[in-house]
Parts: sequence; structure tokens; C-alpha cells
Amino acid sequence: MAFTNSSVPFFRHDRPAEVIADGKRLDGRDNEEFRTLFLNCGTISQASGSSYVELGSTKVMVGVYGPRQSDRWMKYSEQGSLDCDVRLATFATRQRGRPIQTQLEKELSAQLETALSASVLLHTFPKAVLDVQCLVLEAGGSVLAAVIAAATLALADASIELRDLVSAASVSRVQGIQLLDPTAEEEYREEAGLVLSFMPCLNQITSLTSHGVWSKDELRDAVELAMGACEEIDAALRDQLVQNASQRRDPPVLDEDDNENA
Amino acid sequence: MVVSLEGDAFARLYPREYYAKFVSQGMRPDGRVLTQERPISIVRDVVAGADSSALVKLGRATALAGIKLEVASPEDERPGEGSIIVQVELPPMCSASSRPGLVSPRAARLTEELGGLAESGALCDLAQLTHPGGRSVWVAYCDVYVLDADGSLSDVCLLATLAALQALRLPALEPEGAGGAAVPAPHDTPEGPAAPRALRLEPPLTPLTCGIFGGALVVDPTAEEEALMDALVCLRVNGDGQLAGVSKLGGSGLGREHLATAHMAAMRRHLALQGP
Repeated sequence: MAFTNSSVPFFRHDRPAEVIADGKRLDGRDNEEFRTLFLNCGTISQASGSSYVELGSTKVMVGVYGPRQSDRWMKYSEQGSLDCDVRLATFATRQRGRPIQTQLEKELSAQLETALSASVLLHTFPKAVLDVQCLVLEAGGSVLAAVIAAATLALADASIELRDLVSAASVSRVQGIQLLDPTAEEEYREEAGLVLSFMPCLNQITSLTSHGVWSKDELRDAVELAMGACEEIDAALRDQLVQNASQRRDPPVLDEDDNENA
Repeated sequence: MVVSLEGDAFARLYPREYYAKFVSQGMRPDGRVLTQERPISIVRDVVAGADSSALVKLGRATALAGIKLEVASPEDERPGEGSIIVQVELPPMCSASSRPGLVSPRAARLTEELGGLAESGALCDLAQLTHPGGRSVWVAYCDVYVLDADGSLSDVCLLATLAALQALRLPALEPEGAGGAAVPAPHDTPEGPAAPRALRLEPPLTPLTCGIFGGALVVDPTAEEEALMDALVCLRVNGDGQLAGVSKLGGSGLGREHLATAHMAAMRRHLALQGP
């Protein structure tokens, strides 16, 4: 017999009223500093390519499957297509999410598709679909940026041909100050914000979405700030791919997992 | 090089024959013997935003359980009890066979199995989830996400649920005077903040999944192995090492000696997990 009464959320802590105290961010970062980035690939055994990305407390896991034959109802296309699906775990957000797809998840999925499809050589797999499945385990701010980085890493891990890796960064403006890689609390208090995805080697922007009011100069500064961050993220992604490829070539003699538990 | 390519081709074209060759030698392709389980790792409190969480790995099979607490009025039929609601999700990311938009029957079955255990009070006494004053109760939503569906999902989901419940701390509440509804205890009392309280759990159940392949018992199969098995059987042993649940749905028959072997293997896992 299931519990049928409706319940209301319970919050252990209130949101902080101020996210900038004495000109400093709450976590002590510089305004133009992003959080610790942790990358890993090959995390899902059945996927063609997979990745796990941590950007501070934001945690994202991506699996790439396919390319597979496109569904019957889709029209014939000489180009392949990307099918992106982003989900948030119910415990990822401050208030418990719903298991069914929400508007936010639909929007994130669409934005991910826009950001990535410019980088994928779609004509190399005509009539086929590549599934990019993402799960956000914890939404601690800058979720879209983390999802894009994780997805591009998983695509590369799946040996899908790409024009360039796509990196993304978000900037929030709080009390007139531009903050790179905002946390969930900073995003909540922001006046304006933007998310930029960028291919650093080609020097091309694949998508840029902003909300709130930006002056011309502010917007230019924010875009440059985000582009700089994308270059750093790009370097980290490449390092991870090289590391992963060399591990694959010379696999360690003993499995690490077995050692820990032996 | 040529030899390994032929081996790979044989494994892909004739997976059953390939596997049978291993089993006839008492071995499995991943190097384990038939009754050997995969290494288990349990990490608690991995998601800061959840009230508690646990990541459990069984070899490569991975599940993440997260609990969010909510407040509700008690049900008329069970006034002195809160609730633990378990939901298992197999997100499309976790395996090649799950696709977005569909609730897979497998996820529904796992939800049914774990949800039933939690609601029956087999994991913990639900009376602990009431608030002082009795006007409201805790509802603990435990959502289990399978991150890598590499076999024995029922085991990895139950272990993740148990570990998340062990890590759960209920915030201290005190009854409010007039309305009778409980409110969070004040943080700035002279004695410092009131301590959150852990749940007293029942002695934990230990699950074990086994497969039957051509008359042989295979302990803790991976996803690849599960696809080849004639039948699967899931056991749970309780704190005393007694069988507390067996499910075997369809497939070939299960001999009495196999059940005994599987029970022994489950006891071994139980001792390893609850050991000193």
C-alpha cells in the first residue's frame, strides 16, 4: 500500500541572502576563476563512449550510443542526426524533481543539441542517429556548461568524428559584477547571465544564449571571459583524452578496482 | 594477434558456445571462478544536495541512491508511521536497451521489489519517521539511479538503498505550541544546534543474484552473462543468515543443491559486508 498523502519539501538551510560578501564570492573564488574540474571517460560499460564530469559540486554523466538506424517515422536524411536527452536526477536540485520530463530538461536537451551538432561531422553517418544520453546527478550551478563538456568528451570517447571539441562556460552578473562559472546560489541571485559554447581551435562559437539585460560593453566582456574559460576547459578535455588513449594502448597489468578490494 | 582476433570473432558469433567452453573448465571469461562474486565498493554521501546518498559498485554495475526528505500529514490508516518511497530508474544512459520516454518493465519490477520491502518495514521501523506532536511525518523519497547496468541490478539497487538509509540523518524537530505542527529546532540554543538523528535500521538484508547455465550455477553474473543464462535466481539473506526472500522467474529448473550453493555464496557476501 503506497503512501498517498501529498508532501511538501523540507529545506535544511535557507538560501544565502547575499552571494557576494565584502567583494568576495562565498566559496572564496576569484570572480574570473572556475571551480575544480574533474574528468573521466569510459565510465559506462555498454556505451560506445561515455564520460563523467564534475565542475565543483555539479556532477554529470553521459553515455553515447550508436550510431543506430533512425526511427521509421523520421524522414530520409543524407545527414545523420543527434538525439540528445538530458535528465536531472530527482535529488539533483534543491527541491526534489519529478521523475517525468520537465520543461527545464527539454530546454537543456535542445540547447545541448544546438551546441554539439555544429561540431559533429553528421554526413559521415547518413540515415543514422547518435543517442547522447545525459544524467545530471547534482545540479550545483552551470549545469549546461558541464553537460556540454561531458557530452563532447563522450562523443570523442566514442570515436565520433568531430570538427573540434566544444567547450562551454557560463557567466552570471550579480550586483553588477561578472562571475565566471556561477554556483546554484549565484545563479539564483543573478541579474543577467549567459552560456557560451565555443570551439577554441576553430575559434567559432556554436551557441550563445543570454538572459537578462546586458549593455554592449558588458556583453563583450562576458563573452571574452567565457571564451577564455572555454580554452582552459578545452585543454583539460584534450589532456583527458590523451591520457585515456594511452591507457587503452598500454593497459595497466592489474585492474585497479581488483586491487582495492582484494 | 591472429589468435586473439579469432577468439573475438568466435565470442561474437557464438557467444553461448564461447561461454560454455569457459564454464566446462570452471572459469568465466572475466577470470572469475563460477562461485566468485565481483568486488563491492560502497561510498556514502556523494551528492551534497540530497539528504543522504550512496554510490554502490558491484564490479562495473553501478547504482546511485539519493534520499530527499519531505513533510506530509500522516495517513488515516497508519497515523503513527512515516514512509520510505523507493523508486528505481534505469535512465537511457545506463544501457544500450533503455530508450528515453519509456518506463522499462525492468525498472518497474525493481521498483516494485524494493518499494515493497521499504513499505513493509523490512528495512526499518517506519514509526521512527513521525514528528514530535504526531501531526506530521517524514516521507523519505529514495530514488535509485542505475548508472551502469552491468548485471545483478537487483543486488546493486538494494545495497545502494540500504547504504543511503544508513547515512540518513533526520533533522531535529520540536513540537510547536499551539498548532501542533512540528518546526525545525532552533540552531542557536545555548547547547548548540540539536543533533540530527540516525534511523535505527533492521539488520541489513544481503542480496545475491545467481544464474543457471547448462546445469551450472554462476554467481553474480554481468549483463553479458545474464543474457546467456537459462534462468536467474535472486536471494536475500537476513541478519541471521537465513533466507529472507527468493525470486526465480521462469527459465530452467533450479536444483536443491544449487539453492544450497547460492545460499552459501550469499552468506559469504553477508559476512564480508557485515564483517569486522
